[in-house]
Amino acid sequence: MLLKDAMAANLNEIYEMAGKSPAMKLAVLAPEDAEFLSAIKNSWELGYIIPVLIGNADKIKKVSDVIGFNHSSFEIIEENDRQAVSNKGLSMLFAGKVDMVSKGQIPTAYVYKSVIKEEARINSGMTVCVLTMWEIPGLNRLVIFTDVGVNIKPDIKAKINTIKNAAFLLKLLGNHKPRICALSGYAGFGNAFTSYKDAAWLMEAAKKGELGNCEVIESTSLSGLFLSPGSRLKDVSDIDLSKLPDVLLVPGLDAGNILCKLDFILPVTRRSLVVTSKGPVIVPSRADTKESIVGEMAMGVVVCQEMKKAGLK
Amino acid sequence: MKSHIMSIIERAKGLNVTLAVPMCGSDDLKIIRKAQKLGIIRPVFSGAAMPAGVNIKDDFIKVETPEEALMKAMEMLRESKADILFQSGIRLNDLLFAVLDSGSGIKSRLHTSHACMFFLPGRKTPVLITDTFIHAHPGLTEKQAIIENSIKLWKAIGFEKPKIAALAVLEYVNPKIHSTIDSAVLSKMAERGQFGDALIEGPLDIDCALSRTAALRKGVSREVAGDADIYLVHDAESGYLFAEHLVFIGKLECAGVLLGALKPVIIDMPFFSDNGRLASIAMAALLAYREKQHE
Repeated sequence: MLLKDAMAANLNEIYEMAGKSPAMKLAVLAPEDAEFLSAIKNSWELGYIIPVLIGNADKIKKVSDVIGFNHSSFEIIEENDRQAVSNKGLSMLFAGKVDMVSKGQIPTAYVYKSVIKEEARINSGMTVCVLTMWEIPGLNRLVIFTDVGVNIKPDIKAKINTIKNAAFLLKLLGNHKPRICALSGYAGFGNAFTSYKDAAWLMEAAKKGELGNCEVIESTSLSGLFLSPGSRLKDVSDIDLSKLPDVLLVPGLDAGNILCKLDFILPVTRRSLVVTSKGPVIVPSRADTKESIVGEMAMGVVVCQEMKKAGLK
Repeated sequence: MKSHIMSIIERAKGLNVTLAVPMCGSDDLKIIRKAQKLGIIRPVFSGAAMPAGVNIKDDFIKVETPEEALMKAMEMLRESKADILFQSGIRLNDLLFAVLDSGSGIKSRLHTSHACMFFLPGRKTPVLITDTFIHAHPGLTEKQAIIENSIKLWKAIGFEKPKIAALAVLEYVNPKIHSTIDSAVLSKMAERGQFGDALIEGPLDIDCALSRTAALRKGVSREVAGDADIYLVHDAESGYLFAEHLVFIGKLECAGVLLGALKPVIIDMPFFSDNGRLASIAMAALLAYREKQHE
């Protein structure tokens, strides 16, 4: 029997924790789509959140009526410019007026801009990145991919910040020394991937303790992780998933976007969020289902609660 | 139960093309013998000593050094005495320098690419992911060659009119993100018939490429969405990691071949299982056979 690595080993435990937690106040940025607003309604019914709706009040009321959501019991803040909607929500988060934020029908880039602005204002040193958690059948812990949303070609500084952000989230979830794999391509034949050099640098920096309490492991690929040096895969049924690290640092957005969304074909479950120094921000994609968005709300609620327990909120 | 990847092996039975095998190792010989027994290939070995398990009935060319074994294999390819090159005991870098050296080798690096083949759950026909190895930073010229190579392979393994997903991180063109621009251009090129009988849709986010439902929610309801045969990735790093994750987390079998050289080359990836390696030989044989018909 493997010891449980982290406090929340799977998504059901996250949902249970969220269900037991007091409801968190959630700023909702431009909820104008029925599937999305249904997810907000559902999260409220489950006792996860109390929404504050920001955006065009007419549009919000119309969609609410369509899905049978009684908006009259919630605060609606009228704001029509889409960047202003985002700024309003994030400034409320950073002022402690709400516990978390969720993006509705505005471009994600606007939300990133607002987060960067707020973090810079309080001089937190935190940057913005997207963390995707995977629940993988047969593995008794969650695995994080990052950064899968913001940095197109992250430099070493962005990678360090990304690692710190992932470690921050894992610490909240009870994992105090995460193992991190900095992924790269096949390092043969003069393929001078920047990610390969960065990985070597990150391994050294982690050893010296410069990245906080974490380990950057020697492998830069899954082949390196799963196979001993010089050996090859014989049979796919030999693969032992427990060798997966806690964090997979992707080399850039093009690779990261593919990897984190392989739940569309593999039997894994994906839940993403952005963790700011003042609380979580949920950034659902237009392709995400209601179930997925509600799951991300639960993840956000747990993060809020743990931040409060740790005196960070 | 037979895995789908075996269907590719079935298709290559009886082709009997010639496989050049420099410096054969014992692991490799097992796979080669299987392929030989199925009539997919006929091996020609070259090396300093006859490898264990290779006997007098086999074609064996004795040379002095591993370098000469590789040179001999290259010579056979150039003279069309062999149809496929198998990496075997040759170091990867040595093999690639020989294959991609335009002087003594086969063709320029610009036109080569690597493709991996998978059978995804719930799908009877295979998919190709490319480029999974060669180009760290491909431009449009390289991507054009990568697509042309993959279309040839797709047709050689027995299918018509591929649906190609030109992947990017989102389905809009963002001038700051190269993959979105390249994919849009390639899609337009295909629309104007520049790739012949092939459909290319791009820029396409991976979710839209893999799932029709996701594509519909995003308002991308073109024919390729949710039903792609070929996944064109932005760079080799993305392709390699894509393939690795399907193998190690999805536990899916993978086969692969180096394309665009004068003859198909099978390079050794650590994540190819025994079945995958046999399928790699089958894929290369189908391609070599088709190209021989067209010579």
